[in-house]
Amino acid sequence: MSRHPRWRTADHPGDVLNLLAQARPPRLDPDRGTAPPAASFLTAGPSAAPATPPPGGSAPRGRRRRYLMAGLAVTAAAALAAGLTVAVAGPPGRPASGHPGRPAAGRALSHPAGPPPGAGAPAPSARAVLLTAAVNAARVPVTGRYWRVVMTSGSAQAAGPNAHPFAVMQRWFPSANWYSRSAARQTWTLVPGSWTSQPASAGAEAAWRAAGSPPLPRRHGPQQAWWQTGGGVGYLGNGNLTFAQFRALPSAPRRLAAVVRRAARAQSPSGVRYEMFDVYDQLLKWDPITPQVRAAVFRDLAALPGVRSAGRVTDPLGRVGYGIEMTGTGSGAERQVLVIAPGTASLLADEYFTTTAPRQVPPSGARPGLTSCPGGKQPARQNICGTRKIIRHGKKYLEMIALGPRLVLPAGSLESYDAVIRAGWTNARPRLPAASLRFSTATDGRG
Amino acid sequence: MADQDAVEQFTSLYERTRPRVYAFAVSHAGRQLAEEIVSEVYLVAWRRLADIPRPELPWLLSVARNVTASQFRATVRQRSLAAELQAWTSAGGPAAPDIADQVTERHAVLAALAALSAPDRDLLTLVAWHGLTPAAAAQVMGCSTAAYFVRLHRARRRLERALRGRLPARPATAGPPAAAPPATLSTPQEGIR
Repeated sequence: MSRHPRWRTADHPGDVLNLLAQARPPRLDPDRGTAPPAASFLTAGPSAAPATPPPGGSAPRGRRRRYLMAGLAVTAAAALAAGLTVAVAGPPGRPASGHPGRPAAGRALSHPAGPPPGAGAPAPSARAVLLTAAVNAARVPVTGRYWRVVMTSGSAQAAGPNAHPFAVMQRWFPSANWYSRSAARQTWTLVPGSWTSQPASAGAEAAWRAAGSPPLPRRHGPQQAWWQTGGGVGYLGNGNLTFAQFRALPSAPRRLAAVVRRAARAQSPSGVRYEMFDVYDQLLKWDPITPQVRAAVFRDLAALPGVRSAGRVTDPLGRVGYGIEMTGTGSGAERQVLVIAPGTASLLADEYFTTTAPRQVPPSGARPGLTSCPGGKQPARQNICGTRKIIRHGKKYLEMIALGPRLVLPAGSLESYDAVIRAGWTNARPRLPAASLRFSTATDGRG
Repeated sequence: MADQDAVEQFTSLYERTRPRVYAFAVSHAGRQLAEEIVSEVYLVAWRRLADIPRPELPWLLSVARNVTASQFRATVRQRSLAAELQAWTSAGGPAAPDIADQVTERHAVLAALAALSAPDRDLLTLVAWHGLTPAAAAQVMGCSTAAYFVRLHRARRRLERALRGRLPARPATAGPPAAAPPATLSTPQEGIR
């Protein structure tokens, strides 16, 4: 690094731009927490919010609901009228979505590496589950080039002919995040292009049959690979952290909580404790944190007011685990459940459930929506009439006006989930799609 | 399902480009208008989704320029921009002694930039701050690449001239070590011989 006098470089035409580049004002970047973090979409049609790339930093990372509110919300006009929350019935064959939802009474901890929870035995308390997981977390060895997380996502959507709509649960093919330990190798997110769907509840299935069993919405598309520019590999709050920064997170009591609280404040206003719960969820679900930090996350969760046990639950992939839950505050609040594998420190899934519903909910989980565009206009594209700007909570959003059925979920329905298929260290390398399907994130490594 | 594809394409576009469109909107018209400009840009992008050329950023920034010119009265634009330019040079407050020189220099550069015409500022910041190649910047400015080089050369000379009067005279060795220039700068420099 030369120590050339920089103000003199103005004499050399080539360098005044360097000088200018270094003077770039931070005001060109949105303030933390105020800028819409990422786009997220919700349409009333069978089309869905893509479990959009969680490319290291810039994408919703499965926080579809929150980002929907904070970001560029695109929603059906009809759904808007009833509030943004669209609903779905529980998955078929799993009444109440295998989710007791009752906090089990406090019970002694100690089932480290215990057997899978069997029927009959009372479920342990949230505290017991979390402190056990904390013990197990510190034992996980750390080896390998990449921290790899493979998961699948699902969300409820309205589908079918507008006159006879029904709710489906859309399920994406697996996505994979490859967090590179070395800055010399890229961190990749492999984003699936395909998904399938099935009726979201017994009522939805009946409505689907009554409609003549039309083909269920599905999509087949190529996988994409995203790589992160600027060194950040993931988000904490609204800040983009590098791999090394994730490894350097503090594990001491209070210190991690302080970091998480700051990140939670940068997120949206569902109450800071609920946001903290969500930040902890993100750390467990995605990020290349150390075993000590992982243990600290579980200990912090055990101490966080409002965290309750959901008892034994079955995750969206049918796996049995212990549920740890928290409910947001305010109207349209959702209940977020973390499913933890017994005897490990592994997060099996996170799930979002509705807590409220419109007064009349059809058993099909969906209602007819707009049949023509406002003002008698033709849809600009397929079933989408266009967009308009709305202001909510003092922020501007872009709203999409779509034709077709809209989702109306009963309270307590599964809205969306991320289910971890595999998470761990590996020396393998990601198998990337063709170069034309690789994209970089335009965001820099801010934060 | 074409609408599904369109929604995904748009989501992806928005996520990839929004911070950069916002940054350009701030440098072009000031923070007061930036959010609104960005909203308008993506409204246009949604309507014209099928027609957006790749790479999309130059197109988006040219839309931002057009939107700003057509939707905000000149007086509103000028007020917002004046507030922005002032904020660049007044922000930060007193700096720690070891970085004070750097701050002075930074303020000098920004003050010099603020003294230039709006097109000159755009010409310079498109390559220096927004990371565009000369060809892409030319597209944003609505001129040929060759014309862009000529204009950039002149704008750069004017910036140098404005800078000379503002930089403090200091011994050469007292300066802080130069930070590595952002990688995006290599392109314009190579382009201008």
